[in-house]
Amino acid sequence: MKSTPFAEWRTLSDPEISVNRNVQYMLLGLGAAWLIMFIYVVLITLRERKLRKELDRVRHMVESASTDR
Amino acid sequence: MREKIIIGLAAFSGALLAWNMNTIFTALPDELNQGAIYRIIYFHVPANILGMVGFGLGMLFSIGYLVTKNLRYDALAASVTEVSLVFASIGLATGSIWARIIWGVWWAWDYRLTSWLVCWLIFGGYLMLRRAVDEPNQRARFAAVVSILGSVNAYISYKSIEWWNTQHPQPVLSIRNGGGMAQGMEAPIWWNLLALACFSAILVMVRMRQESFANEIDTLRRMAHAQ
Repeated sequence: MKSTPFAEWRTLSDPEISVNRNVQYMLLGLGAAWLIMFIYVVLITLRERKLRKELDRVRHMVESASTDR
Repeated sequence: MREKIIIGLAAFSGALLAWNMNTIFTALPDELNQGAIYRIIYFHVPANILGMVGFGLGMLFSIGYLVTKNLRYDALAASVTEVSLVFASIGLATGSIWARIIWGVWWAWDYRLTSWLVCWLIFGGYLMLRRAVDEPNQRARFAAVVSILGSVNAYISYKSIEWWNTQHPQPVLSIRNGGGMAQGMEAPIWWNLLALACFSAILVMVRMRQESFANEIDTLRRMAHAQ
């Protein structure tokens, strides 16, 4: 395996590294924005499904109660 | 009809967002002092504007309920406020990540950030309060009061960068006499605002439909108990 000479190691003050860090944080920020929207869309979809099921159940309950009488 | 409007708005906002992302990443250069990280502004600012405007609209609907006692206004206030809280969360999260690079810290307790966090907590409390109270009119009345208080705080947060010296930058957008952005860099903020506004309108419409489902369930349950 080829070893890396010490002189080629990059330090934190290397401008190229701070540019990379800058891009990483930009992607993190934009990713966070999309992720929050995605999570909310999933939650709202699950809530809709649950409400529709509950509405069907209660409708059925009311209908069966009125036919029993 | 509502389904068609939702599909139309989704297609429009999706296409606009895609076109705008292309502009942001391929046409715009890095900012001279900040580098690539400044692109966060294209989500940070529209999300916070939608949060603030939404909280204000929620307050107007809440006042509408207090005046008319019509629960439809309360449903509108709840839907708009919940969606606005999502956008306020995006504003806080993106701002914090941006601050880590530009200020070297994730958070600063200055007037703008603190007042906006307090606002976020108030409206988080608003949604928790709505879950805690069962009686619809009592729930709407309590929620309306919290919405009004929270919106006053949102206005203070909006003006805080003009009233006080803050770590957060002073206004940069041209409509607030900022003029701090290079030509061509500001327009995508407004396009993104339009796309996200269409997206938030979809979310509010879906939430309104859910509110009507919940009301119908309540009514049917009462009928079942009465029988």
